[in-house]
Amino acid sequence: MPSLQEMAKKESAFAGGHRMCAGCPVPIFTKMLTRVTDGYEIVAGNATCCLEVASSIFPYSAWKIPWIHTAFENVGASMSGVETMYRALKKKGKITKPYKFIAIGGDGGTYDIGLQSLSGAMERGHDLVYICYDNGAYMNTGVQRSSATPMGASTTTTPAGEQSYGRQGNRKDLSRIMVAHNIGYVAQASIHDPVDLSEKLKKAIELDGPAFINLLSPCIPGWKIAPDMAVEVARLGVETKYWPLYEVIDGVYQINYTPKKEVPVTEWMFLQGRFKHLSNPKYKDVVDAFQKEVERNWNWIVKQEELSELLSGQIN
Amino acid sequence: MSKILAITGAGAMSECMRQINPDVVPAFPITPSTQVIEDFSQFVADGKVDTEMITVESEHSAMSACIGAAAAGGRVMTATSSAGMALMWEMLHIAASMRQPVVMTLINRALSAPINIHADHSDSMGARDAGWIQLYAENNQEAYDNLIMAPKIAENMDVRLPVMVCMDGFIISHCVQTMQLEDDDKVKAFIGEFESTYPVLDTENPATWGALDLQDYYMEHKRAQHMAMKNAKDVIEKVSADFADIFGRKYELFESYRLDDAERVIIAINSVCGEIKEVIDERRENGDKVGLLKIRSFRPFPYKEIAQALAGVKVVTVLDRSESMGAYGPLFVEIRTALFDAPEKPMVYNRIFGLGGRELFMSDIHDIFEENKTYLETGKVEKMFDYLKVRGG
Amino acid sequence: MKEKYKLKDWQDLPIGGVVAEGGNSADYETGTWRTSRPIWMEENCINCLNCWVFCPEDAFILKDGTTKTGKPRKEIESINYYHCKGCGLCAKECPVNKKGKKIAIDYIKEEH
Repeated sequence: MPSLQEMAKKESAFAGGHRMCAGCPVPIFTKMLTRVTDGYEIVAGNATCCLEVASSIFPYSAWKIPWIHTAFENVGASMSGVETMYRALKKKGKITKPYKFIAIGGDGGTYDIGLQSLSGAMERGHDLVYICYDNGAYMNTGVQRSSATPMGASTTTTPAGEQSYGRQGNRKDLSRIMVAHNIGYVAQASIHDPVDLSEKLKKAIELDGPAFINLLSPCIPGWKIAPDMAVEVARLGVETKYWPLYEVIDGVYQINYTPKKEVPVTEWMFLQGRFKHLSNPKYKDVVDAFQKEVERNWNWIVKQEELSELLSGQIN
Repeated sequence: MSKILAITGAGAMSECMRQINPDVVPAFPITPSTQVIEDFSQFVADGKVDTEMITVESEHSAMSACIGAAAAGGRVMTATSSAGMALMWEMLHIAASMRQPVVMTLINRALSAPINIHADHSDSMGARDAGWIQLYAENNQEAYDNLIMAPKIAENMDVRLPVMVCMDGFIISHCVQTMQLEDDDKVKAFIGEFESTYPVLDTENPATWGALDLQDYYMEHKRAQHMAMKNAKDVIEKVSADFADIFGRKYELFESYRLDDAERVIIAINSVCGEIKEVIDERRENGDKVGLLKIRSFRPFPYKEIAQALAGVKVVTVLDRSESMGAYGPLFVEIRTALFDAPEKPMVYNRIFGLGGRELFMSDIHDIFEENKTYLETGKVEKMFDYLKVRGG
Repeated sequence: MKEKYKLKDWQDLPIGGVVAEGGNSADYETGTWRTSRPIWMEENCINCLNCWVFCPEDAFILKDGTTKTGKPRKEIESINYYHCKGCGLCAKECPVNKKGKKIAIDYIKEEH
């Protein structure tokens, strides 16, 4: 597991002077991309998103590694192209060093508009790590709902109002969709735990083949939290089991962190302005349903872990 | 060895791709361009090329992967048609603006709806402002020759723009014609090695591709792109001249067929030009001064050269195989623009034909020449715009 | 502003909108965004590097140092206020601060 001391010996992939919001936790992982492995050339690609826009305002770029952005819905495909050209040139002896490729998208560009190109890239087996930083809405365009938006969140296209409690229904579980691609590595990580994140990045990068990391990443304006609160809010997302930290390696589930005590999800929700309206007692049913969904999801993963153990015992 | 062979237009394109042996080919099947990538996939499977194929899940991803692969630092080709290119739409612009020399075979097919798989030019004409160089071909041979020239044009350092090589769906893509297949080594030598610009795989000099431009830089980048397209005109002529020196077949930005003393001229694109030439030959035997101007390069569009070539012509019939609803056909608009400053303007009018593969027979082309003969005699264009061969008039 | 960032004519730009010098955002000042500023208190710092790893601006500058037992390690040297946007995340996540007895990163209103 790369310790902070070990990571500190390596140069960051991402420079200061970018235009992300003050307190945005996204650079926590972009800085890390070159700090978790040894011996690889790292190349990154981005879907259109906050990170993409704020990191590359011409004539400036925060990227100290080669980086390409083409559009919103296609980083899986554009990075498939980059990775394939690497293989083509390597085969011809024009490149000799080992390379690893990273594709980055927000939840809008990954759960929604980019799902097809992500699915294609993973299914074809490119040697590509896809990192989705999930902040639960289209933040770049001003906090519109995505299929990753949690139930009850007020966004600019699902605003809370007299007739609405915000986003209706439950969010999509993209991590499970990625597991269904039968790829070697799928993980959920959180921006509040850089050591766990670095370990997951390392595993994903070192794996030969496609890997997917779904990273909880609070948004200061979108979640309506103070600029110093992103890490704390992410931490509570994990402590309340809203965002379980787990890995699925070759189909085998493993939970990486089990909270020490039961913390109701409201502890996480009511730190955020986007759920504030739900504190009205008339929305008790919504909050209860949210809590129930969190528990159902956690239990499902626990069962998957048990099932994985059972199956691996039988198969082996 | 160079040889004459009978082959479909699509087959000719895949043979040419085999000879070019691009580094990466991302592709997605769509009628009528499917055979291009099917045949090429077989070449890959048989080890006749060392290309890496990416069998993408959509055309949008095909063009996205083309851009990624080209930016990474190698030669990239693909093929598509119609709705496939429509789905690439966003990425066509991005390929051109990011100045990636991707080469694409476009087998022209109508756009839906209603769904129709046959030839017309609504796909490429719709993409005329995407920033791609567009070369058109009357037959297999020309399409094949254009594809040989395409990488040299696209990759020229004064150009660095993507090129689409267009031909008519089914009429050319699926019909067997004889053509000259050039020697593999000669083709390879003509094209030469790929040179990259700021390749993404250069980790020593990490470049950032696809940055955000604000009001302070966007126009300068567009202006530079405009210049590249302007340069492309000279480069197309230069590459075509080099091609003629080596392979013997001579191409210009457009073909002038019996134009010298022509009074009445049809201007058209792609396969219909074959029939028009036949009709012109028949009519010339009877002393009728008719000719054809066949567009090869639609982007860049050779305005001045066309105006010069049409000097002395009295009537011009522009045939468009696509519609720009609520406006004249796209070729007509360009031709009228080209002629606006001509000292003696001919009469110019527009006819839409062949949408969704509707045939235009030689008798129909005779009718066109009869009609423009009347216009010449009366000195008046009766109908500026009309459809040819549509029931109900 | 450095000469190289002065607005250029279209002829003088690299092809296709590419930024040829990756990482040059380091030349761009975001310190002007600050309304509050973190103050690093060396005497109370335990060099856990939490502030360094969490800092979205990569504004914690490190230096080579040693542990009490003489093992080499990276230590905080200073804060780069040219980039620091003053979000306060470092002070919030500082374990010394969290314990509540001492302050290793103070967080104060910016004086303008």
